[in-house]
Amino acid sequence: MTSHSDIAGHGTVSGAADIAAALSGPVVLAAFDLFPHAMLVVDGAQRVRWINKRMEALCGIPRERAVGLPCAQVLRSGLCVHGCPAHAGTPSLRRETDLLSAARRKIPVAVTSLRLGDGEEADLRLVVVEDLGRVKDLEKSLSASSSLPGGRLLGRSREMERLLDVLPVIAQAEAPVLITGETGTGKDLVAEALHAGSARSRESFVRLNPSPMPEELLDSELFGHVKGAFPWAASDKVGRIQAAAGGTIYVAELADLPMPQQVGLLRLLDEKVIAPVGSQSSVRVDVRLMAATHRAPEELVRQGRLREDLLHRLAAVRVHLPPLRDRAGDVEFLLHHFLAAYAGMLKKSVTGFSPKALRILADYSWPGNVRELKNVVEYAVMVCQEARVLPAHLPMHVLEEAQRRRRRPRGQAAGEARHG
Amino acid sequence: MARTVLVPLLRNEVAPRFDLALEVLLARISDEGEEISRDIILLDHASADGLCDFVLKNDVAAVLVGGIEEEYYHYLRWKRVEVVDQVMGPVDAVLERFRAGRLAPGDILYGEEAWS
Repeated sequence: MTSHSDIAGHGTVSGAADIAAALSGPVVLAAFDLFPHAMLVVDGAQRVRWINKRMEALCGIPRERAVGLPCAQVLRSGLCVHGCPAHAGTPSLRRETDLLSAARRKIPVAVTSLRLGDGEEADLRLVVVEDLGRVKDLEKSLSASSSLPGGRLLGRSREMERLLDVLPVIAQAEAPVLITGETGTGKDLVAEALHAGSARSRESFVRLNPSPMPEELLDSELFGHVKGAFPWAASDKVGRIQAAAGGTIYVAELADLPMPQQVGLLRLLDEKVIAPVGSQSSVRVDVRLMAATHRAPEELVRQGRLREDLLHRLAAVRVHLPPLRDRAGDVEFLLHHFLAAYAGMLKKSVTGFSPKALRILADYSWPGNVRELKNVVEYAVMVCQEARVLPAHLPMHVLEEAQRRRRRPRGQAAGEARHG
Repeated sequence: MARTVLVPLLRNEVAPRFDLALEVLLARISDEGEEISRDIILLDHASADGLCDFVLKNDVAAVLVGGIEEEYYHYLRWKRVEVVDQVMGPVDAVLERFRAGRLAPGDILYGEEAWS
């Protein structure tokens, strides 16, 4: 009598054997030729038994010539020469290294070695070589633009450190993000940093500035249109949202987006679809939405300029950038940072600020925040002919505020700065 | 005038990569193609830059190698060093073919069925 477990066991083994038999056929080897990765089969004597077309292209040796050659000569990876791991006895392993192609190029690769079969074929291994060149290039460009958690966002204050701590976590989430903060605080940089740190970073980051334009044009710009949707629509056009598919769409000023387009965004958030102008059907789009505003969003809702339901969906994650005047210690840090940057850029030997200039700048209210500070430093470095920036090198509006402050009682001036 | 030939080694075969070789063979070959002398030198570390310096310091006239990066290939050629790359096989067979003036880039000299 056969027990249930016997049947089950037999069934599994028989199924596996069938699959193994099918996989050992020439069809699979032919299929390997279609793979985007280079592949080779090597035996226990470290000789090549088979390579696919991609490997042929990489090593510059036709398959019939490669068979029988030492695998180290064909693969030419960094692992081949010093302690080849492919024959370590483990069933499978993956290592990152590089290889030298027939075109004399060193290519970063990941080499995966899999033992084939359990019996006599146990000595055979399938080696899969993934080209990591594109990935490494992207990593390099990303790390260049965002070696800090917040990309090009700078700051040493407690407020900024708290923000820079949470940005990587927010970046990894898929939720929509609403970025608020006064003008010049770096809302665009936050959006860029969030995209760069997300799993979508290899796809597009599309920025949308809803500048005043006819409504139908804005609709077309955002959602695209089909041929004939407008008298001038001679062909189908993909909108900015579709252009960001797989990546991130960033609305730079939410308050500038008219109500009808806000409905479209709402549908995108709820159903992940958009409706191109003139189209009978909706288009599914996988995109992360980020939006920013320099106004208080609740105030915009009260004024009827922002849909409340859109605000609630967008504000799943809300990032607020503090104004520069509330970032204790950052003004001095940023002044020195931009001074060094502009001195290098403009080839000036300016090394610092005079104590008086520094006091004027530290007391200034910075209504334009970091953007304004950057411009002030650029101007000062440009006009400065000394080793240090003096008050005379500062822009007139900064000096005028300092004069007004001197003429008024200290408490009043501080109050003005807070509300300016 | 005798010429010096350098072959990066992996055991007794031409090394698959110039930049990873830890051992090189230096052979002196006469005008008539006779091998005058042969030295095997162990390097303290693998480096393409270091090996290029070694080639120039030792007045090497030809390098026979498996793979070499474009940058180093052109540098050596610019320094008037002959480079025969994409060569595979036991070092004796490779040197013998070179001495006969028949070694070409891409030659594979393994076993009885040597391809060229």
